Amino acid sequence: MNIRFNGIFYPPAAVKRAIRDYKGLADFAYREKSGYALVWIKNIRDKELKPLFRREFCNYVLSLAGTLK
Amino acid sequence: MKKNNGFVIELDKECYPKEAVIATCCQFLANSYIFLEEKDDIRVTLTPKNGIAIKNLKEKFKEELLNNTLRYNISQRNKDIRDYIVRAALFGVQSRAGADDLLFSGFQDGSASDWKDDPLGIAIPWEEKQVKKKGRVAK
Repeated sequence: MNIRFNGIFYPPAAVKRAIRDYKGLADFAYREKSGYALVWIKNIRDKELKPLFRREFCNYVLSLAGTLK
Repeated sequence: MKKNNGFVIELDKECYPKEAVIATCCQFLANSYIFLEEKDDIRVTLTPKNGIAIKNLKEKFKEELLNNTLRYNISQRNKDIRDYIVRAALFGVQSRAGADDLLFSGFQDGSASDWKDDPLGIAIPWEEKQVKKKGRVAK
């Protein structure tokens, strides 16, 4: 699965930090392109987490975006 | 707009600053999954978490968004004076030099330096005025 985070709301620092915190749960790839942070997620370890993983990850990035400046 | 048990709320980005939108979203993270996008407007996708009632969620979100927008606008308006107070508290006398500049920064017609002028003689003490009058009478 891939997620496009708009740089206006989701600073790259928040996305990178979230990837760092979640890297034990799945494999991530990250790239910045024209104001967006693109994140690819593969091999989610826990199958129970799979349906909610994307949403929980987005929520976590947003919570970091609210605290990081 | 309704979408997969959730809502998409479209917000005019000229009315709602992104700081207020993010602050509001952060308040609702415990109850719902939120994703933000921007096209012409700000699009907030809000999906309630399991067991959380969807009822009034949209209205509550909009209410909080208005509160946060107001807070943000007031904090922007008072930014200079707040900075001055903090600077004065931290550095005391050193920051007083800039106080006049700050207090009279509201005069946009460049009259900030004219406030000491006294063309009507209002600032002259009463005693001095009386002495002048008596002096004229005595002559």
